[in-house]
Amino acid sequence: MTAADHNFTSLTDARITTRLGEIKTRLLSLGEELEGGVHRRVAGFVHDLLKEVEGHSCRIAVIGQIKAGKSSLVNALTQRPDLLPTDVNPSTAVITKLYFGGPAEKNNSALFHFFSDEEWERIMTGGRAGTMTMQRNAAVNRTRLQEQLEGLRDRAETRLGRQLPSLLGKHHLFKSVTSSVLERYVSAGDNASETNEPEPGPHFSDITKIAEVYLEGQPLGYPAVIIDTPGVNDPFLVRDEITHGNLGDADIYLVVLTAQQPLSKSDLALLRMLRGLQKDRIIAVVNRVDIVEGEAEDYDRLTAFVQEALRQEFPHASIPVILASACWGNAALHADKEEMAAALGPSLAAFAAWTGCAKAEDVLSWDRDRNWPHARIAKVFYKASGVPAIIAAISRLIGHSVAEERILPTASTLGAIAENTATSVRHNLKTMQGKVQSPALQPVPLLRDQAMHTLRQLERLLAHIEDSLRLADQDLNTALTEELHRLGKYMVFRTDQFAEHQGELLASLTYSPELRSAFQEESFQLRSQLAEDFYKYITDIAKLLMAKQRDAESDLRQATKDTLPEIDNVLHFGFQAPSFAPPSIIPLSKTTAFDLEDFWETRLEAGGGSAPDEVNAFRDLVRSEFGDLIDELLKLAESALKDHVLAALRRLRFLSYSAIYPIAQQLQHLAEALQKTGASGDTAQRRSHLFSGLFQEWEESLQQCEKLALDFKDLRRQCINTLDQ
Amino acid sequence: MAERVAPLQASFTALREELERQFAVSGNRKIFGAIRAVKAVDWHLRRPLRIAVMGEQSSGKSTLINMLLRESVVPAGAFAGLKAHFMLRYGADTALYVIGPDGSRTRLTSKALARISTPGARSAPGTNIIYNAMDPALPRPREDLQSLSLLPGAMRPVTDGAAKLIEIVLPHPFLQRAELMETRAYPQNPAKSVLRRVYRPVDAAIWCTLSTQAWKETERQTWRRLPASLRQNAILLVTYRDAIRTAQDEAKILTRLRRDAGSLFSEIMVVSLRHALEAMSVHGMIADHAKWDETGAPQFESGLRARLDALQWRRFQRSAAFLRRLSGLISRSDPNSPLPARSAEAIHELFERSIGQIEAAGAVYFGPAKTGDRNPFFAVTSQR
Repeated sequence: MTAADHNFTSLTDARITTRLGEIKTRLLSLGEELEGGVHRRVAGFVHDLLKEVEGHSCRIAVIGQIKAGKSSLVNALTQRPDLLPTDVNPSTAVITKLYFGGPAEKNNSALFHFFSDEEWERIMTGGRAGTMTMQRNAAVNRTRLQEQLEGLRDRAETRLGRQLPSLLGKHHLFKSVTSSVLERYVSAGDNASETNEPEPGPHFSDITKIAEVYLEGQPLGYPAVIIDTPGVNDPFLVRDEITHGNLGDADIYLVVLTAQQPLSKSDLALLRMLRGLQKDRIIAVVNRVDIVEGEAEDYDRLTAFVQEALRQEFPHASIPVILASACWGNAALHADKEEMAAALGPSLAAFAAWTGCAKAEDVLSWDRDRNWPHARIAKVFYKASGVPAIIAAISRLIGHSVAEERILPTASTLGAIAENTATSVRHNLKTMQGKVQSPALQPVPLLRDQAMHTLRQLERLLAHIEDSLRLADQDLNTALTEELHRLGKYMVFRTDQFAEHQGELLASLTYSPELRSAFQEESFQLRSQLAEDFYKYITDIAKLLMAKQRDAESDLRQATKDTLPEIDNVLHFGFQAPSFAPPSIIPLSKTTAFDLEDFWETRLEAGGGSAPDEVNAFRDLVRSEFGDLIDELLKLAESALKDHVLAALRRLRFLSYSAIYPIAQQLQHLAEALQKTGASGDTAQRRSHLFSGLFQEWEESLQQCEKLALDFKDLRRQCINTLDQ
Repeated sequence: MAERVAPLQASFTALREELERQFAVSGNRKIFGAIRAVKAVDWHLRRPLRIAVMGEQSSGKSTLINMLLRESVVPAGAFAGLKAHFMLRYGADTALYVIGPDGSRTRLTSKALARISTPGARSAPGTNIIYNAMDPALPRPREDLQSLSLLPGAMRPVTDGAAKLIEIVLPHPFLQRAELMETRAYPQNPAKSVLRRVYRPVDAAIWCTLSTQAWKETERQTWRRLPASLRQNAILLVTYRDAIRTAQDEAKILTRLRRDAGSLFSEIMVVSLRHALEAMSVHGMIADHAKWDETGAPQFESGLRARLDALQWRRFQRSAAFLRRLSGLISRSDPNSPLPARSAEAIHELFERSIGQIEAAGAVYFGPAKTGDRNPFFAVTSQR
């Protein structure tokens, strides 16, 4: 499955990411050089940092309602018009991850993970949603969810027969995968009973949890994972649940809307789940422009409408809005005359004129006459499709996050290592070389004693650093646990207030439509409030941790300065420490029992609900449902913060080592060499002859580190310049 | 309609007057009750059927109404965005009213039109109207409704707190048989909304859904909240048929819809409103018959017509049956205040006459289907 022959890469503008890709390569090679030139204790740390940078790729999740055209859009973006299966009915049933920029030997392979036994059982019983309704729904009426689940199980059993139990928990690996294979694992497919066509081979989509496909090329100029999701707002509820549960963490969210119904309630609900994301990470694509026939002012109004609505939901972010048509993009990539002929029409003319990629009269004239400037038309389709604009927008967003979260901090740390090593070696070289080769010949044993003395001091310093770091670790972890505990209590308090209020409402309104709408509105407000509070708190915690980190840094610097007072700027910690990325608040948007139709319907029909027992049970349910969300969120926060602290302290340790160990090692060598010379090192001439080799080594090491320090500085500048474009 | 039911109404009036006379004489309680019952039946039969056109935004509701009326009455268009709820009724003179949340009815003058916009509401993309001065193939807007096209204020999005209903009164033949109501969705809080009063007597419903994104969960949830009785007279109309590429794709969509929504509607149909309007001439007559036939519009219209006929016939029948029972109730002798035999006979005869009129009227409600201009609902004249 290679990219289409008609290569439109020249039209797409992934400038920023391409340049960053180059910078990343340079960073990796400089890093390797550094790894070879530093003390072995530090080399391991450098190696780990480089591995992180190397393996880093951007995750782009494509989300939206069913039939918004997500899969088609992904096809167009990756220049593979037939890669992911599409259909008139909602088709994508499985989260599909497309990996670009990975190791070459994996290209064109695919790995399909099936649900485990437990996961399958959980889905069959409706997951969280199902258990909640079934607890209360001992009555005979089967809920719609249950019906659909039974249908799903039947279909899976029909399709897979007796293999089904043995397949659960396994995965299927394809060394080279084709679109028809993808279809069998990823697409819902028509029910066999409804169409009379036999299916070409067993169909696994019902039990596939995740599909991972490795592809060659880098459509975005930087290693990336593009994640296609089943749509939300699907009457087939199971798929909805899968998407919500797997949004997880992505770097960029491509939200696909449709031109006919931009930002309906369902789109807004989806967008609200993305609230609380750090920085600008959302791109809104208004797809299916090909179906509506508009004029310039219509497109302006549409863009303005979407922008305005987004501004209301996300007051501080600037979310790019791009009008697009995946259909046109794929037509261009197919380079099929008939397909393009069918798609030519007034809607393309109007839109092309509006975007400025062609004049309306030109497009209409092609429609009429059969003499085609084939390649030119394909180019117009491609530009009008919005794909180049989308890639440029992604590129810009990725650029910032990659640069700030990976490249700049790593370059800064590595640069600091190089500098520390250089500073130490320079000093060592000056003093020791001076002492050994000075005209006032000091006796060898004295020199050796001096060297050993300094060595012992350094050992003590290292021990002190160890203690310091251990204390800092305790301190930071205690602080974060305390703060999280406080945050937890606060969030639970808010939830309790909400639960109380809802209990009162139930007592006065009983189960009625008013209660339901009041609940829905207020629970939405609760979630927003919790999200805001969480985000603020976590940012404050991160700041607190950063302050404590600074304290640890100055402590280490002071200790080092005390031991080695003659060195200026002995311990450099770099310009930019890695910042903390708060976890996404998606757990707060998960489905609770109250979001299910069935929950309310059974109660609305039964009526009543003001008895104290009933009210208490309701309150308890509210508390426990929302309490679960809060717990999950706090767990995520805890592990994120702990990881951050761990990484920060590790960094401090190795930066300190990078200043100390070079000296220690060189002194060790010097002491041994002095030991060996003994009396024969009595004249200056003989000494310089004996130790020239050693000092030569030190000199080379110094030059290498100085050069690398400058190189890293230069790389940083280059990176910042790229972002400014 | 007026000329058809005139004899029916005359007979009701006669019946009621006789009953009142009898009541004045005898004070019989049953007669008193009968007077009110007869009034209720009279009123019930006077009102035309009501069709609700519903669906999510941009699903084609306004375009559908314009197609049924064979002229551009309601602003429709590609990015028309959110609009108010509309009610189209018959009246001898064109007029525009707005119904407030408290049920008050205000006639709009051009000054009032300007003041109607809801301050602070999100700005909608405005109204874009299909009529294109350069394209003679599309129906032209009525002169007396030109002001509607300049109604940006009225067309501002409606928030449920300030629910507005706009009533458009037109001397249009279709509206004599059936009123049309366009609305986006059932309001969240029906008890408080004025629309609740409007929603109850809906006889038939058409839910519009886009072929490219047919029948989403939010649509299902909204539809489910409406009274179940509506489902027996509801059509799920899939619009934008021109966006479906092959017949096979259309079959797939219909299969899924039947599975997911078949139990919630009495039928499911597919139509291309854009092509339907393109097949019409300026005067609302079908210019391109071949094109018209392919759109799915003729099947939809005749289906709708059949449904309305059946609904009206059933209404008439029930009224007739009710009157018969009422008549029987009155003629049975009451030991407390017996009616003189002659009066009872007179009443009975008037009842029979009314029942006869009802049955006659029912048969000719919509009349025989019109031929020639391919319109099952009314005769399109070339004059406007």
